[in-house]
Amino acid sequence: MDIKEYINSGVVEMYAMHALNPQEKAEFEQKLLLYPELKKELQKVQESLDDYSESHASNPRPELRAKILQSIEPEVAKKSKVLPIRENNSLTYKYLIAACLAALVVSTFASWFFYSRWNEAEDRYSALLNDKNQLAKNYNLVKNEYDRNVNDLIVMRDQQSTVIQLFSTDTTKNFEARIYWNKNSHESYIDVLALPIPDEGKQYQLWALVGGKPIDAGVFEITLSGIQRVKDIPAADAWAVTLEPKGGSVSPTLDQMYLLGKAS
Amino acid sequence: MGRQTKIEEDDLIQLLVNRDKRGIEILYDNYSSALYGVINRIVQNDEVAEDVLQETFLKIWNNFAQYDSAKGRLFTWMVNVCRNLSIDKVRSKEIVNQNKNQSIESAVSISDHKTSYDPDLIGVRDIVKNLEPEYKQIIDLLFFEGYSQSEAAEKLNIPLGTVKTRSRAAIQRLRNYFDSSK
Repeated sequence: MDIKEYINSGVVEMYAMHALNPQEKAEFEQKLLLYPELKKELQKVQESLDDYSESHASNPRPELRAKILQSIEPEVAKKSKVLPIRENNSLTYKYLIAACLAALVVSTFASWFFYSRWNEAEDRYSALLNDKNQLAKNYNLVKNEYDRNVNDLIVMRDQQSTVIQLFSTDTTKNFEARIYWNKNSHESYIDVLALPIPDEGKQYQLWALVGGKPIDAGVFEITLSGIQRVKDIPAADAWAVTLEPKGGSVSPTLDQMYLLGKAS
Repeated sequence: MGRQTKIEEDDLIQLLVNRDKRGIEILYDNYSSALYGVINRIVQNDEVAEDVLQETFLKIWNNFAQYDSAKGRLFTWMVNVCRNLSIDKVRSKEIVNQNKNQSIESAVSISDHKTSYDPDLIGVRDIVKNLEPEYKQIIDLLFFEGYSQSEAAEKLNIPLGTVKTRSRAAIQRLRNYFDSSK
């Protein structure tokens, strides 16, 4: 529709007198933004209506002026009472901020608490892991010892085993050892019961005596943990232990004989 | 406007925006008669009109932030405020007094005699008396009594288009009158 036609329709007057329905009103206000001449026309119509309104002017009772202006005052006071609502608003924000801070403090504390708990748990876990490893090691040690003891027992309890007691050649000393000798397999073991710890560079050596002739049965260590295997010996009349230079000798040093025992 | 303005409208608006009490005093001194006249024209009762005038100034004071000078003059806005309050008052009274079935028009003749008389405004008031009855009727129905255009068409038993064209003619008539008297 042409804007002049629109204006001439009387719609401006309807708008100025608030007689349009919401849809027509929205349409008019949209056009108002697009057409300056529409706005100009509206201003003229409003001005006429303002003048017409003013034509009805009549003075209110003079006393009313003070009454109405005074009634503004409490309203101003009320307004400033409304302000606390805004303060309440900011109070709400203050509470919110306070709550946030409190939550922050709590969560910081909780973080610290759980972190230290976690650390503690980590420490305990490491300790437990260590304990477990230690136990495993101990178990292995015990197991090895047990296995060796079982093996020792098997050797000692073998029906083919012969036990030869070796005693001190110096009767004032209580040195002692035992030989376990298997007459079938010729496996030989020594069980050291009591011998002095040798000097540095020295080692004990076992000899089998066959027809008065010494045969090297190997060197051995001083240990308290069970029997030690030595060289296989087919036969022996007697057994002797001498102290020799480390690694053993080809023939025994007789003045260094510590133990001697006859095979029965 | 024929009123003596001691202050520019922009300055007055600034006072009211700043919630300066002087603003509402100047406003009262400059516009209370005009607004009271409009209110009394609508509510047709001095006592009720005084209440509505007070409500109007309170509303202007409290809701001044809603006034947008880009959309129109301050006076136009204030007339709209007091018009709406007045029409609301009449309608709530109509609900209360619905049994009495007292229509607004029947009260017009009575209230015209009751409103106080301002000698300064004699010339201006002539238009109210001299406006052609069919023009006066349509403006009063739409503007002062809050009829929609379709309600007015029904009330006056004329087509909707006639409501518009007659309104346009009526306001054209007002415009000519006020332009010639300025």
